[in-house]
Amino acid sequence: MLLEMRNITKKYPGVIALYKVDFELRAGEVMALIGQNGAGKTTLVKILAGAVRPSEGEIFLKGKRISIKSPEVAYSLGFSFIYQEGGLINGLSGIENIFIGRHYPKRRGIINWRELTKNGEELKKRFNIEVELKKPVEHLSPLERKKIEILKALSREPKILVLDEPTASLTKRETDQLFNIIKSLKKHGIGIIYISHFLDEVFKVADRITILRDGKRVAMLPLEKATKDMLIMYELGEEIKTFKNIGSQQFQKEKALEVINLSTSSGLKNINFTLHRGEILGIFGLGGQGKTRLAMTLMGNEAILDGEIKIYGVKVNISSPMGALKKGIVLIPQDRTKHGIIEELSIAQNLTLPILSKIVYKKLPLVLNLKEEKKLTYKIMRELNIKAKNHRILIKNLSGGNKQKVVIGKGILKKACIFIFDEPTQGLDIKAREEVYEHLIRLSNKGISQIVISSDIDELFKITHRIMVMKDGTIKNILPTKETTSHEILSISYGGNNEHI
Amino acid sequence: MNIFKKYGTLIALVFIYIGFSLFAPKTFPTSRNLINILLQISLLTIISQGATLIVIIKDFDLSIAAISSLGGVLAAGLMVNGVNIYIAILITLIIGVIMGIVNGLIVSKLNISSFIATLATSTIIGGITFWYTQGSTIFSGIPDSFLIFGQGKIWGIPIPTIFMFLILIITWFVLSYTELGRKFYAIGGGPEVARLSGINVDKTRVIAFAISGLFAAFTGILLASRLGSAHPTAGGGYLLKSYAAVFLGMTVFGEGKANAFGTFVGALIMGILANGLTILDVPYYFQDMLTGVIIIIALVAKGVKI
Repeated sequence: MLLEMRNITKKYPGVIALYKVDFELRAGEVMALIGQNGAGKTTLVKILAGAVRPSEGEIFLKGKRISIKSPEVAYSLGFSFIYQEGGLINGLSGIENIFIGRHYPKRRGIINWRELTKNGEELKKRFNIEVELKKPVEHLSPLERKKIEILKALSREPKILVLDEPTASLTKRETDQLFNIIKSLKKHGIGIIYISHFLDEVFKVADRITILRDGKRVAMLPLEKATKDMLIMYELGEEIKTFKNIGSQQFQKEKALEVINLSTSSGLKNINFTLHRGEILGIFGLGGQGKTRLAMTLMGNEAILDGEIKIYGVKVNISSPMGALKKGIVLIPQDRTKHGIIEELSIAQNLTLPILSKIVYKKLPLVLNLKEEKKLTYKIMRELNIKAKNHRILIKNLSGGNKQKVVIGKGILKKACIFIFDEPTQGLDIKAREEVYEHLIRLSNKGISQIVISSDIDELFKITHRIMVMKDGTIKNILPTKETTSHEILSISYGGNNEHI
Repeated sequence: MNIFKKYGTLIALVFIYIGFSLFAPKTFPTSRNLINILLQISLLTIISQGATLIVIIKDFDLSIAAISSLGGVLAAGLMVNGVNIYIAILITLIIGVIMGIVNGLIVSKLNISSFIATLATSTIIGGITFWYTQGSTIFSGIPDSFLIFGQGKIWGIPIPTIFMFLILIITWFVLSYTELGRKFYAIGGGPEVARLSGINVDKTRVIAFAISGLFAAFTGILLASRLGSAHPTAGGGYLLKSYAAVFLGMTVFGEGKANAFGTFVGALIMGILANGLTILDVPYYFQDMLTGVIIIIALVAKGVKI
């Protein structure tokens, strides 16, 4: 056995990320590691990378007990990692990237480029990977960049290669090419850990599969014994159920938003859906399937090639965030600190950003009525239960849940009729989540329509009226939440058919 | 402890003032000298108010010194050629605004970092100034009635100082109480959030650069009036000093953001140091060294990140 992890437990304050997990990897095999968001895949990888120390458990490399204290130790033990993105430095060529951080061969103190290029070419030949090494990496295609990253990892002579969602930015054909490379690496005796959301990929490339759920290993099985249905079952838990919907009243018939035959330059194709007054429409999809792009399009941040958008029956032309806001669409973005709030400003100053021109004195049109601002702020703070000493507290001093409430408050003050939430509870603890759900349902009862993008299936089942599944930039299906199951939603998004259910 | 962290710079200002008063009790702490100090920092404070806006939106305007130099020679040159002084001043101010707008457009529309863009425009403006003056100082023919702006007094207070307080109060009011001021702070804190909140970021940045250009040109006019002559590099010293005042000013009040009165206090500290050390016969180069050290100490002590 190349790698063995026994009884690995990792506790964070209040959370158990991994509980008594066993994991093993043979030389020359591909072990797929799958599981829902939050199942513990990332923590397991971080332990191998030396970024996180396990609370309990032992790790053996070729039968010898090891302790991975730091990323340097992980490298020297023979672990190499390829993450979703960001492993290369733009502006440097492929060859420079591959050997970065190591001593370049030198002659009289000057880099010996001929020698370096020779090393690179040898590496390519040995592993049979064809790619241009001299171009700056930012000019390479996603697949070529992946190849450079793999060469970079291989140049360190790894025994174990960890690939985390390596196909996220690749096309179908590129993905297949990548799989050929992975298969050929097996011949060199390298053990490969392959992390993916996509079951199709797992069936194409893996030899064995380890499934995590809620921090526990629920199954490890060879590929021959696995079926897609079985894996979904393991990922979701034994019993498939529809989650209890804490939902709001039934939404009304009135159409708030109609998207008709929409196509965009960012790769969305043929998007058709209707959002009703007071409805909460969930969007589910794996990473990179177009959820966030759809949100950005509705916010006027992506160029529309074809199709139309209607708001309450009126055709609108949204070409900028300002335009979207004017039409009553507000986005509660995924990255709160980057797109939702300004850390250095106060609660009041953040809340009134979109309505500055409405809180000026009538007689002095450019001067802000700070009393009015204070009044509105306290109203929102009460309504959303934002906990802070006063309205002048800087946002950076608030908790994640309270920050999110401020972002929601911005939309309420703007009197938006359509809210788009992108991963509304990401990074929040359970209590803060429940509170956010309550606010969404309250908004819905007031007749405000909402689109909730989430990769957390439970969340969607809890609060939505209908769930829309996206894959490859199109809508695969729209199902009433009460009449579907998490199993069905997952198998649609994995691209499987649902006739077995 | 907390009081030191919050008002450390102001406390330092008071200590510096008391210190000089003890060493030079007859010359330093007099009302005449205080008025003198305020006069010495008047022009710096005016040009620094523009720099304050620019720092708030997290940009740089390196062309303010060049614009003020051009402002001086342009106003003087027009007057020498017989243009009515008020019209000459108006034209100069408009030119200052236009240069600021050009800076702002290059920065926001062409997406060039403001540091580099204004470095380039600064060089261009410097070239234009030399072309206009042929490198010489303008002094003969400047009308006496123009000199009152830089040299006159009202109730014993020099007119530049009055201008300084006027501009200081206007800038403070705009920053604290108007939509525009709020937009500046929003853009500085998070341009993307500001944009998604419906703020026209490009336009607002152009306005900030326009005001910076306006104040720079005005400073140049006042300088020419005060000196009674206009030299093509007269404003050169203002660039570093004005940003020093802004950064020092960021440490003055609560939250570590650039603000109008903070900048004034920054300029005041530098003015008091220069004045006091001169009275004590400390060489000028030592003053510069001390100013630099104080800026670094203040920023580190306050933990201000720029």
